[in-house]
Amino acid sequence: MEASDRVLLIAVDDSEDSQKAFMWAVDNLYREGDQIHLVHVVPRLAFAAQYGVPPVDFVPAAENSSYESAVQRAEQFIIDRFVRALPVTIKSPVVHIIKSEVDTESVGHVLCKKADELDAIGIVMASHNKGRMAEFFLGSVTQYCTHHSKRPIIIVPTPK
Amino acid sequence: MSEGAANSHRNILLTVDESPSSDKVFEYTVKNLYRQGDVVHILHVIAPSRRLVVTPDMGLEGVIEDDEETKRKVEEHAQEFIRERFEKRLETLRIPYQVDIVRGCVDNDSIGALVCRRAEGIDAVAVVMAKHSRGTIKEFFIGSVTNYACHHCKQPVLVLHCD
Repeated sequence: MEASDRVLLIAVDDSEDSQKAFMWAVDNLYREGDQIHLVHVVPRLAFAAQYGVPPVDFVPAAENSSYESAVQRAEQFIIDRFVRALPVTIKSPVVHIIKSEVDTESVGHVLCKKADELDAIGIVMASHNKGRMAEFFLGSVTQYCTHHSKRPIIIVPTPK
Repeated sequence: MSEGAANSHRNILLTVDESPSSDKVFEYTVKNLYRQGDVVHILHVIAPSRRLVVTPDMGLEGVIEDDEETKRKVEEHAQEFIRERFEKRLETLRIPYQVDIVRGCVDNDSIGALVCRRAEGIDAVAVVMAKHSRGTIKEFFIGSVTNYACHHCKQPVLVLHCD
């Protein structure tokens, strides 16, 4: 039997919805030999928000430690929610925690770029970001990716 | 497909039309999603027998009501292209399938709602659709159906970008 050598990119955040999207991919898309890549993007605004200052007025030292703690939190939830939930038969995922460098570079843009770099067969994501607002049909990242990605997007809905 | 593995029994819903993007939808499904034992459901919506004639700049020119002969021809045409482009391939690949050609309102929301209902009805593991960038009138409709499905579908939606 030919082993698969596809790359599956799964966009993750610290939410149950994201976990559900991940499990869907593991149960329904994964084939033996596939390499799973988990991608979490830390947007630049996230750490500026910690200090209540707009991104343009950053204090380099302070911003650095804030980013570091964002990365640490990400590593932790990725292990807890995703890596631990993976069946032992599936090879370890590659984890990417990416800082979005530029304010204008949205999370979605980073995901699409990464998918291209990895030549992924698709990007799996939950329909909503963490901190979803019920009035929006789709989270902003999913919205962006659906419009802009050249690669397939798999949107796993989250119950309302 | 591994020896000794239990057969999959999932339903995969594909929405198709006459555009080339439906071939991409089909190929991706067969290549990347399909598992031995899955059933492929092909869904195609055809316009009701009354049609609006629209000019390129979306001006309304008139309304045409089809006679029985035309209605039959439209249905046969749909059956034909589905048979040619999809059924033959499915049979060659020995993939169990079901074809649904539905007559319904072809505004985006109606087709979208139809797709979502069908997906829920068969408990589809995924709905595979194509998204076009806004361009000609026809592509605008299709793109918006995909949009509707992404927003409303209770099953996972797989969106292929086709240009």
